[in-house]
Amino acid sequence: MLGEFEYLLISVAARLGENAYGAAIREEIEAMDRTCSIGALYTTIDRLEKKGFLRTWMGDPSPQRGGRAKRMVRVTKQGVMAAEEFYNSVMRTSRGVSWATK
Amino acid sequence: MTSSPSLLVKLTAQLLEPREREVVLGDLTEMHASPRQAVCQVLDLGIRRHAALWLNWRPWLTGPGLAVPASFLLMGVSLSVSQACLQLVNSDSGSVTWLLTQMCLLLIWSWTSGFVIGSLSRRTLWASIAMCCWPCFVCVSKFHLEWLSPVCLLWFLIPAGLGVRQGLSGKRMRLSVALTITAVLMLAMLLQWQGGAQRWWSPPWWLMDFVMSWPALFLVARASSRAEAE
Repeated sequence: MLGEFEYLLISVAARLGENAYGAAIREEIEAMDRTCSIGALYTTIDRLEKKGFLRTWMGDPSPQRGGRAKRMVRVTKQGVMAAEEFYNSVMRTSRGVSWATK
Repeated sequence: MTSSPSLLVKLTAQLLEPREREVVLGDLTEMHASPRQAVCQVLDLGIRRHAALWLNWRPWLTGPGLAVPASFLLMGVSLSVSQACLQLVNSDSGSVTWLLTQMCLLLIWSWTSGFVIGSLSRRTLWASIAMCCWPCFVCVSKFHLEWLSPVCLLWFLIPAGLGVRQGLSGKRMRLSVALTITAVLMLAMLLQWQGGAQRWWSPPWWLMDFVMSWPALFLVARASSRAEAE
């Protein structure tokens, strides 16, 4: 079962698709009024990769990064299944509660 | 952050592995983080990474489990070597066999301990070294013998340092070599126990000696697993 931040990260990475990498994921998360430190981001990415929910690899260097490489991220099939399970579980348990019917 | 990070950011980034350092510095450049933000972010990740290393059994085994107790014991052996040397030089009561046994024990025991520390705790080596330095500092500061310099307590650091270097290189040992090293260490230890009257520590410590010789047994186990894999 995923944690809340893990679910958030997988969702953002899935939405970004081919453009999912550390800084872009962090920017998306912060755009949702969530603080996301680089430490939290990369330790969570590592944890999810160990669980087999993400795959990462080194991308090409780019000039706007001072010629440094990106760490690209892709959600695996297991990652999609785990995110679905989390989403369904939240939806099931939220049925009928006051904040879900607003 | 500009494409060329400040010296403080570069220094803080040394906490990270080279690959991760490049990625994080790139992210910070892209985010236009201020130098203060960059240092805080890198420090946060570095602390998390180093804290995570201590969730593993290896740094605990090589630090508090090996570096600290082995330092105390090996300082004792270093002292014995110095005493045996002095006895041999200054009087007729000294024994060459005893000196050779002590030297053999010192070299092999220190080297194997260093080798295990180097091969098991690469990323927490600094902590193992600090844990080795602490007993050395305590003992050297309390060592008061007119006829011996406190430096004689630290002979073990030379073979131990060579062992660490060898361990860090990642080379594995042949089973025959590991078995020979262990056999010689055990033999030297037995000879030392037999000559216990000349030793400066009391008999119950032989058990501690034996327990602390586990790095040699570790070498054998590792070499034998390699031999099986081949």
